[in-house]
Amino acid sequence: MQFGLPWGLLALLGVPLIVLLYSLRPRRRDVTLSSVSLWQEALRERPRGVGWRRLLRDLELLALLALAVLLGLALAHPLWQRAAPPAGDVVLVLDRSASMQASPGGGASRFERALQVARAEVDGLAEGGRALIMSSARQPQLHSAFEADPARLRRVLEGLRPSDEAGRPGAALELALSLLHDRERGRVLFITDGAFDVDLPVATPALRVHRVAEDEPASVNVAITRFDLRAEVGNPQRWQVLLGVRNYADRALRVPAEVRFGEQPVWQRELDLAPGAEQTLVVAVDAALVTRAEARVLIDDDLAVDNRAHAVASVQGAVLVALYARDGRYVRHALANLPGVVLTEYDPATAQRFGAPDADAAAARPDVVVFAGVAPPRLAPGSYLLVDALVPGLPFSQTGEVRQPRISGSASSALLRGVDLAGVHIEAARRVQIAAGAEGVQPLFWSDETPLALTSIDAQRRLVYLGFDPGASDLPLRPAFPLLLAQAMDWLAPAADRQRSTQALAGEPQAIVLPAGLERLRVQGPAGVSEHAPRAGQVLFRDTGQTGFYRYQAGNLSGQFAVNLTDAAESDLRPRAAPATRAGDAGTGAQALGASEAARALRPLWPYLTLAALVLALLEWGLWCRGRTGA
Amino acid sequence: MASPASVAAVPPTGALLFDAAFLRRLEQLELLARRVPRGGRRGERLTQRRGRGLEFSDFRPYQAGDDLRHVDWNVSARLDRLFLKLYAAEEDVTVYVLLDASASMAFGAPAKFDHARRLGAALAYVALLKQDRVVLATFGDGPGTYTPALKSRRALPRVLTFLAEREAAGGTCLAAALRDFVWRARRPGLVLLIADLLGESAPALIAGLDVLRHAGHEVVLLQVLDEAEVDPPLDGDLRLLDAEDGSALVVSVDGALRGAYQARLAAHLRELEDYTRRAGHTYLRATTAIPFEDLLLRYLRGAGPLR
Repeated sequence: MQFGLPWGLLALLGVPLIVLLYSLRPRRRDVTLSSVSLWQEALRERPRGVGWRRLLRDLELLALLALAVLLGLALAHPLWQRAAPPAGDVVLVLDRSASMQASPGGGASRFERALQVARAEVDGLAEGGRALIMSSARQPQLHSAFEADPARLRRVLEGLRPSDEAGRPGAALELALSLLHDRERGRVLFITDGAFDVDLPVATPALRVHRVAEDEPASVNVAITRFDLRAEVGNPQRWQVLLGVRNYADRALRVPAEVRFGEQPVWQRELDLAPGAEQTLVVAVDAALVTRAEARVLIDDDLAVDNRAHAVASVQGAVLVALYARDGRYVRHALANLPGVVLTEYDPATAQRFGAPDADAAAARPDVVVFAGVAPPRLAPGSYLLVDALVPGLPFSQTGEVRQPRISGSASSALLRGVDLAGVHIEAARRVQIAAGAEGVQPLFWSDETPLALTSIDAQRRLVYLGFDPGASDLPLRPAFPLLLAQAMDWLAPAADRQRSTQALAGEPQAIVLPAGLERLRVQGPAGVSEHAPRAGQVLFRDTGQTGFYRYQAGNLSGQFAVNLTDAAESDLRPRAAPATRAGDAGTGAQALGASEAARALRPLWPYLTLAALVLALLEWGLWCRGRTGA
Repeated sequence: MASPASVAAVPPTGALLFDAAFLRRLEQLELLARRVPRGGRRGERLTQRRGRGLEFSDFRPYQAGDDLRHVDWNVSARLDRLFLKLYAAEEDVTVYVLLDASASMAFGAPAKFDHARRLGAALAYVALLKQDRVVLATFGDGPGTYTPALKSRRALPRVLTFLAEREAAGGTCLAAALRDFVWRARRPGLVLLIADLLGESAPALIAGLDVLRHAGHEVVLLQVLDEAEVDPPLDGDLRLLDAEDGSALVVSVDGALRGAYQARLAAHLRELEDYTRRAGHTYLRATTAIPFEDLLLRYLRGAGPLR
């Protein structure tokens, strides 16, 4: 038995108090006898009967004490653990993290054993019971609704595969428990190897954990925990390679490791790894410019997925910027000094003809067009930075002017990462109003009166708007100004070959930003080819469950990125879940609950204790009345 | 001579009423006095003392100073010696009926005192019928209350009235009461002591009874108890109050304590029995649960005081 509110046991302190009060209560009956002398003599031969024996003889007092004990126990909310019938809904959560691919000692992998347990649960569903199947990896994933047909559930199970992702079971279990909300007698069965360090949700009678790795021999695993490379600045022939390798076995191992650029090995070494030790290496490699690199540890251990890591090398490309500025010296100066920006300035008078069919051909091909203090009559599809300039047809328009606006807030945006706008003084700003229902418009920072900067994105255009003349503020004198412009350039010109991030963790969504005008993205990865439509100028690619190289293409845009496991906790194959978990049962599905041990339910006992206390209260009242009438 | 029916109509208290049939049965009884004390008047009781009387008893040799009128000349001539003729002198016995009227006798339902009064009245009636002199006395709080010596059945109404007017109240000290009685009762007789004998220790009671023995009285001890005194139906937390002195005793009564009380009671009664046996007294103990007629006509006849 356990207590849900142990502090309620403090009520038992009332028991000695009751005894004390009862002892003080005058309640002796007077009886007149012919003589008490013989009683006096009898008393001399034995004690008067006070103390515990007297108390025990008193039914009324015993009833009061029992009543106090029962109420004290009821307040403590006792829970009786008992075997519960397996009816009701069950949520089967299968651990699909990378460690479930392991098979220490050979034989079936952990995931295959987990599937066996799940199948037994499905086969053992009680009449009227339903099951929902979901999995846990980096993100929880639902694979079915609550289903009563075991055949359908089995088909769902057959379609599950382990992933290369690191596990995050907490989110999955919270989701699973939330699915049981308002469902009486529902339960969650989490089938896992327990090889994670995350705290499970607060212990609840609805959650049971079945560990499939309980009886395994000690695992042997060596994993690549880090892998990255970068070219030396200005020397694409020389690379710095960062490699981390860890031995999770309980014995020392000598492991060959190598790095390949493309198919060409560029570095090899045998690593001596003590038990539990990790070696981190930074090596210089002389090699030609490549886009793909791979690190390998050549060992046949219990988990193969972490024996390889992938990387895509990135090369910084130039951003072609066209500038139309009327007295935009601050903007000109800042853009000209941004690394990777090739700035071309045009006569601001020609801005009026911008976008016209006979406009300067060279001006039609920049990556970003900047209008500072001068506005064209229209904006063709493309990316624009408008500084103190407004163009008709935008989803926001000027409604006036604001003198000395104070920046009162800013958005959480990639454009403002590291940009400190505190105390920026602005002499005057345009008062703008965003059209009602306008989509794709987001203020970057604002005053109480008006947005001072915003972004706008639609299928045709990508736009950053600054609503004041930088020369009429002290912003150009701050580091925030060039940083803001640099990040604006990155956002306005997200060409693939300018992406810095080349690696992702398995299971992490990868955001692929598309230039305006591109409507379809094709992605090829280890699992196959898929196509995706962009939303708000980007595709959030989620199918990164397998490690390897992913290549994407959309129109003239192409790129690639790598997906790795590189998770130290996931590569540790030792089962180490919370003490509340229990060993799995490798039995068959003979029981209604399948291979797992019988379900346990906690039955609250307070109603029974309260009822018994009520009966005792009535008894005590009856005894008291009997005593008063002298019956 | 008053008829049994008229006797029954006289007393005011219903407890002392005896029906005619019961009275007729009483008339057949006689109090036994094994050692007939010296009585100065003629009664229906034969005395073993030699002396003038109506019935020849025995011979004895003449001694100087004897009355020559009592010489049996025939025996003397035959034996050639002078012998006196002895006669059985019919003398009366004074029967003292002593009733314990202390507050302890009020205990019980029916009260022991009522039972004792009926018993005393019945025994007094038997004595009166046999021309014995009867003195009734009650002792309780203060000096005892005595009747003058009553004789003949015509005194029965007075007996009943006397007993009816008595109440059980106050404390008592038996030894003091008996010493007072002995001082008052110059003439030894048959003492019928009716009491519960619980208020004092056995030695104290024995000391009082010894006073009677030393004064030459023949003692018949009739102890009247209530069933609740023999087997007390008490249990739990109680405050026991003494009916005589009002003292209180706080107890928690359980089976063990009840057993201890009964053991003490048995020892007390045994001590009294042992004494009365040694002293040659007659001792009878009865509870109020025994029907009165059974007590009188069976138990008292069997124990000896009556025949």
